[in-house]
Amino acid sequence: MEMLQIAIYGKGGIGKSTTSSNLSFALATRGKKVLQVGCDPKHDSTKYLIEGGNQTTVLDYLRHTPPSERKLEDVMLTGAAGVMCIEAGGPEPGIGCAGRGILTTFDTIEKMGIGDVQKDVTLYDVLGDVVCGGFAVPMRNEYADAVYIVTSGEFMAMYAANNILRGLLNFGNARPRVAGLILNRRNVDNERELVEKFAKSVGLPIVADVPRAREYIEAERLGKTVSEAFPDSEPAKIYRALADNVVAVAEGRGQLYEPHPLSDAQLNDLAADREIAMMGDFKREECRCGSVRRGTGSCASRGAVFAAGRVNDLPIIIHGPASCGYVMSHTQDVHFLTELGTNPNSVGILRNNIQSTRMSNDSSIFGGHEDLMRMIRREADAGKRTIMVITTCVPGMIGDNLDLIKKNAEAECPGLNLIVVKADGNLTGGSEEGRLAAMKAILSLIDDDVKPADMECNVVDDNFIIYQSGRNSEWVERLMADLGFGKVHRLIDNVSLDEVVCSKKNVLNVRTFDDETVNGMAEVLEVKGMRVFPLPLPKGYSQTMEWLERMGSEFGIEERAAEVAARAGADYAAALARHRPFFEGKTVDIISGIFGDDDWMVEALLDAGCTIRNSFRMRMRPGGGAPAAGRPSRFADRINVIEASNPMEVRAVVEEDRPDILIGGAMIGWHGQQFKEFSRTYQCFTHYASIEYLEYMHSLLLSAPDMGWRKWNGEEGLGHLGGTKPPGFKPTSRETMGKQLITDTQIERIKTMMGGSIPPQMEAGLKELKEGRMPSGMPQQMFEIIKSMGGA
Amino acid sequence: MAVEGIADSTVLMHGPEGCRRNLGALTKKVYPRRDKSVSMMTPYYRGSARIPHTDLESSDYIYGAYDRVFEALQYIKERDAQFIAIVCSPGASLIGDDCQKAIDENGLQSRAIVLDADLSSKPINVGIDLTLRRVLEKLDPEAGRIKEGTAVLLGNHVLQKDWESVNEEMGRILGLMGIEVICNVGAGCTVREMMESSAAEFAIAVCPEYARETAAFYAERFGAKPVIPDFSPVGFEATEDWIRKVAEATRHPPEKALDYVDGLKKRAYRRMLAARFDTDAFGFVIDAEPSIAYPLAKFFYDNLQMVPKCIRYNGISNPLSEALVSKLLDRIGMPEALEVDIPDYAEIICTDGNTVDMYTRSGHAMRGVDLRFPSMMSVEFLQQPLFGAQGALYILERVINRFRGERHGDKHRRIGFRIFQRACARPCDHGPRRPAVRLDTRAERGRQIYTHTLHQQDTQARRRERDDRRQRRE
Repeated sequence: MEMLQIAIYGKGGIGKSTTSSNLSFALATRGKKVLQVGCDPKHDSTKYLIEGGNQTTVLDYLRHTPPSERKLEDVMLTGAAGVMCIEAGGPEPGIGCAGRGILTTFDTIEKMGIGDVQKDVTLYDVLGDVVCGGFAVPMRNEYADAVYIVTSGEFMAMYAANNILRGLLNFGNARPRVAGLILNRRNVDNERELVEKFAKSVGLPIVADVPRAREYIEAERLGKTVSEAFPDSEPAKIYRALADNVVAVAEGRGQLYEPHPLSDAQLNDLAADREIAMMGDFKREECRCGSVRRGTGSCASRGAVFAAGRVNDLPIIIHGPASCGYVMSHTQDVHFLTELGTNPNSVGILRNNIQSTRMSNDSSIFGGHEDLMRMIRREADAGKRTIMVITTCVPGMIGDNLDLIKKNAEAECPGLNLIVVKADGNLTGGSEEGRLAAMKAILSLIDDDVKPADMECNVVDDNFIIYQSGRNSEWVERLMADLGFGKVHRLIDNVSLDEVVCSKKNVLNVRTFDDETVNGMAEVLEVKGMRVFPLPLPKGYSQTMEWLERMGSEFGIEERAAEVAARAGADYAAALARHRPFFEGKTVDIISGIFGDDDWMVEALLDAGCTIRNSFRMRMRPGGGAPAAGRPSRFADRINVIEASNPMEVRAVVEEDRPDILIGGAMIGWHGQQFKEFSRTYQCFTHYASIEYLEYMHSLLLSAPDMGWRKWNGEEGLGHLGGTKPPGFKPTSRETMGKQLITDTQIERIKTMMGGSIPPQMEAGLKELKEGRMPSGMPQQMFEIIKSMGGA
Repeated sequence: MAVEGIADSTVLMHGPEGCRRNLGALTKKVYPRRDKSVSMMTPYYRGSARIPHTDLESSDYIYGAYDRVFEALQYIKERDAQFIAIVCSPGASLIGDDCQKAIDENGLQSRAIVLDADLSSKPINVGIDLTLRRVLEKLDPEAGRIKEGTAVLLGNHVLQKDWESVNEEMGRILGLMGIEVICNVGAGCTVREMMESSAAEFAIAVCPEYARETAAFYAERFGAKPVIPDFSPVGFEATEDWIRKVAEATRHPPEKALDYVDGLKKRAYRRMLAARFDTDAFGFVIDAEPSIAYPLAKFFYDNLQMVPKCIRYNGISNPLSEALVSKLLDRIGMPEALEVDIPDYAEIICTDGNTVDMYTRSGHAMRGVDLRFPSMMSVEFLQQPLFGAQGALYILERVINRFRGERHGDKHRRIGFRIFQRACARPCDHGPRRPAVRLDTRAERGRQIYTHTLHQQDTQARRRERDDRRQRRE
C-alpha cells in the first residue's frame, strides 16, 4: 500500500475530530502506521487518542525552542494503537492569524523530518469551513490525496461542505480527490434523505453514516475514542468500514471524485427543500490572464515613516517585521544622502529615530501586542513622552488592536502621548495616503493658543524631496528674505517636536505644491487658525511675478514686492539675452511624468526662442488611480500637448520627429544615442530656476553628442528598449498620436456583438483608444478582438 | 539577496511595490548588470530591472492573489532568467496563495522555487545561507567525480563589501595554494556553475555565518570537505591565519599565499612610514558579523592602537567567533563595549556604507570603513575587497587617510568647514539677500565635536596621555 494523505474537512463542531481519531484508530488496528495532524487552534483533535493528555502544539513549541534544539519527537506523541499524534495549535481566539499558523506548522514539521517517519496514512483534521489560504493548505495538491467531508443533515453543514468543494475546485483538477461524504448524524428530520439529495446533486457517495450513540459520552469520560473503548459498538463498526474505504483508496481500488459544487441558487433550492435546478457545474474561477490590475503603488507605512521621520526627536516605532524597518530607514537614509549630495545648503543630520518591533512569524500567528508594548515601555522609560507607532500590513491583517494598546500604554505610562498611525502597509493605500496620515497626526500637535507674531514663514510639504533638491531651498529663502521675512521653517522637515508645537507663531504658511497631500496638510493648518497663502511656491519666471504681486497685496508690502519683481525681471531678461542666440530656432520635444508641471520650463524655452513640437504627458498608471501628469498646460494653444501611456508610441513619434533637444527621455527608457537627451530638472522654484535651467541647457548644447562610456561594453549602449513591445506591436505614427483610434460607431458595434455588455477592463481600454491612447494594460487577445470587430 | 547574487536568476516578489522598491534599488546598486531595459510601463518591473513584483493591492489580501503570481511568472519566464525564486512579502505570506501551483502550471518545476516565509525578522545570514541551500537542493546538481584541488567558495554574497573583488582576491590566494575555485556560490555565479559545483573537493567559507548550511549541503550530498575557519580573513594577520587553517584542512601548501600577503604587508609598512597618522587612542565602532568583528577589532587594536567603543553583531550569531571577541575585549579591559548602543561620537565607524556615510557626514564619526554594501551615494571604481591582503590595504586606506578619501573625507571637510564658517560669520556677511542659517542642535553638537576632534591632538591633555602611553610601553 502506498502512503496516502487524507484530509477530513467539515463545518465547525460537526464531529471532524471524533471522526478523525476514530478513523485513525481503526486504520491502526488494521496494521497501518497512522499519523494524525490536528489543524485546529483549539488543538483537541488527538485528545482521545492520548487519553485526554496534554500535547505540546507545534506553534507553541516553535515560540519557545530555538531551531537548533527542535526535535520532531517533542511535538509528536504516540497514542492509542500506535497512532502518531501532532497538534498544530494556534493563537487565542480573536488574536493573530491561525491560518498563518497552519502554513507554518506544515513547513516546520517538514523541516523537522516528518517525511522520514515511516507511515502508511497521514490524516489531517482541518478546522471547519475553508476560511482562508492557510486552512486550505491541506487541500493543496502536494498534501491531500483524498478528501473526506463530514456533514450532517443541517443546511449549514451542507453549505460548508459545498464551500469545501469550491475550495477544492480552486486548487486545480489535476486528478479527482474527493473520496466522499461522511454523514455524522444530528438527528435532524429526514436527515439521510437530505444528505442523499445533496450528495446526489454534487455527485458524491455517502461513504459512512454514523449514528448518534450514548457510547460517545462514555468513551469521552474514559478519555478514549469510541472505537477503542467500545469496539463492538455500532459506531466502531462503521469506523472500521470507513477504514476499509481508506485502505481501498490507498490501494487504488476505491474511487475518487472530482468536485462539482452547487451554485448559490442551487444551494437555495436545497435550503428550501425544492428540486435542485440543473444549471451545469459551478465553474472554477479561472486565471484571468491579462486581467490583473495595477496595485496601489507604494506602501502607506513607508510613506508615513518617511514623512514622520523628518521630525528629529520623534521616536517612531514601526510595528512590523525587521525587513520593513530596514527598508524604511534605508529609504530615509538614501533620501538624506541624496539631499546632502545635491543640495549645497543641506546639513548632515543623524536622526536614528526609526526602529521596528521585528515581528517574527510567531508574532504573525499569535499577535504582536507584546512586542509593541515592550518597545513602547522602553521608549517611555528612556523619557520619551511623545511616541509614534506606524503599523505595517502584518498587524493590519492579523488585527492587532492598536486602540487598546494605546489605551493601555497611556494608562501604564502617565504623560505619554502615543500617536498611532494605522497605515497598515498598502492595505489602506499608497505612500501619499501614509504621508498625509502621519502629517495630520503631527500637525494636530500644534498649539492652538500660540499667536502669530514672527515675520517668519512655514513652507508646508509632506516630503520635501523636491524642495530640498539642488538649490530650490536656497532660492525660496532668498526670495522670502527679499520680501522681508526672516527665517523659513520647513513644516515638517528637520524640526523638533517643540518647533512643530509652536509653529503657529509664524505669520505665513506656504504650500510647496498644489496637490492633494499638501492641500490636506493645509486644511489642518487652517482648522488650527493658521494663515495659508492661496498660491503655492512659484515655479519659474511668470509664476514668480504673479506670486510676488499677490504677496504684496496680501501683506501690504506692494512696494517691496514690486522692487523684488523688477530685479527678477531684469535678471531674467539678462539671461534670455545671453542665451537666445544659442536656442533660437531649436526644436524641442518634452516628456513629462508624475511631477508633470513643466510649464515653467516650457516658458523659458519659448522665451529663449525654441520651437516646442510636442509635450508628452505620460500617464503612469493606465486605468489606475493616479491622474494624468500635471494640470492642463498654460501653453496648450502654442504647443502640441499629448497625453500618452505607452512609451513605445512616444518613442516612435520622437524618432520620427528627431528634435534638436529631447527633454525627459529617461521616462521612456531612452538614453542618448541618436540625438542629445536633456534631463528634466526638479530645481523649479522661483525665477532663479528658469535662469539656471537656461544655463544648464546652454552648457549641454555645447557638450559632446553622447556619453562615450555607453559604448565601453562594445555594444550600442543603453538606449535600446527591450522586452516592452507586445507581440505584433506596430508603433503609432505621429498622425494617429493624440487622435481617436476607434470611433463611437465601432464601439457600439463591438458592444452589440458582445451581447450588450463588455468587461470593465475592455470598456476602459476602449475609452483610452477613443481618447487616442494605446491601452497598454489590455491583453493582446482583446486587441485582436477589437481589430477583428473594426477597431484601429 | 541570495538569489539576486546568482547571475542569471531573478526574484519575483509576491507583494506590493513598496516592499520591493528599495530592494530593487539596492540590488541594482550592489550587482549592476546588463538587464533587459525596462520602463515604468513594463509589467511587473515598473521601471526597475531587478526584482519584479506582483503589485498587490488591498483587496488581494482578502480575496487572494493567485492570478497575479501566475501571470507574473508567465511574463518573467520569457525574460531569460534561468532560475526564479518567489519571495512573499510579510503581508502576502499571510494570504496563503499557492505559489507552488503557479510554478507547476507555468511548467517551471525545474527552475523555480517558493522561498520560506517564516524567515521574517530572522538575521540576514540565516536567510542567505538557507536560501542558497534551498536553491542548490532544487537545482539538484548531479553527484559526479570529485575534481581534486577544486573548491566552492562560500560565505561571500552581494551585500558584502566589493564582493566581486573578494572573489578575485580569495581566488588568487587559494590559487596560490593550488586550489581552484569553481564556483563562488551566491556571489555572481551562474546556474550552470552551481550545477557543476558538485565536483568540488572542498567547500571553503570566507565568512562562516553565511556558509554553514551550504557547506553542510556540499558535504552531505557530494562529500566535499567543509573548511570553515572561526573568523574571516580581515586584516593581514587574520588572513595569514586563515590561509594556515585552510592549508591544514586541505593539505595544500600555504607558502606562496603567505608570501603574497607578506608582500602587500611590506608595501603597507613602507606607506605607513610615510604617513602622518593619528589613530592612537581612536575609538572605533564595529557593527558586523562576529567572524568579521573579531579580526577587525584585533587588527585595529594590535596594529593601530585603537580602542573599541562598541562592537555589535546586529542579531547575527556565531558562538565561536563571539567567544573570541569577548576574550579580546576582556584582555583589553573593555568588556562593556559589547552589544551596546553606538556612542554619539566615535572616530571610526565600521558598518554598511550608508550608515558610515550618515555618521561621517553628520559629524558623529570622523572616518568610516564600509563593511557591507557601499553608500548609495558613491560608486566605487577601484577594487576594495574587505577580505584578504587587498582587504587589509583597503581598511588602512580608509582609517589612515584623513580628508583624502574622495567620498567621505572630502565631503566631511566641506560640511565641517561650512558649519564652522557659518558659526563664525557675522549675520550681515552674506548681505540682506541671504537669510541667516540656523544651526540645528544636532549639527551644532556635531560641529563642537568636530572642531574639538580637529584640535584635540594638540591639546595638553592629549599630549600628556600620549606621553603616558609611551612611558608605559617603554
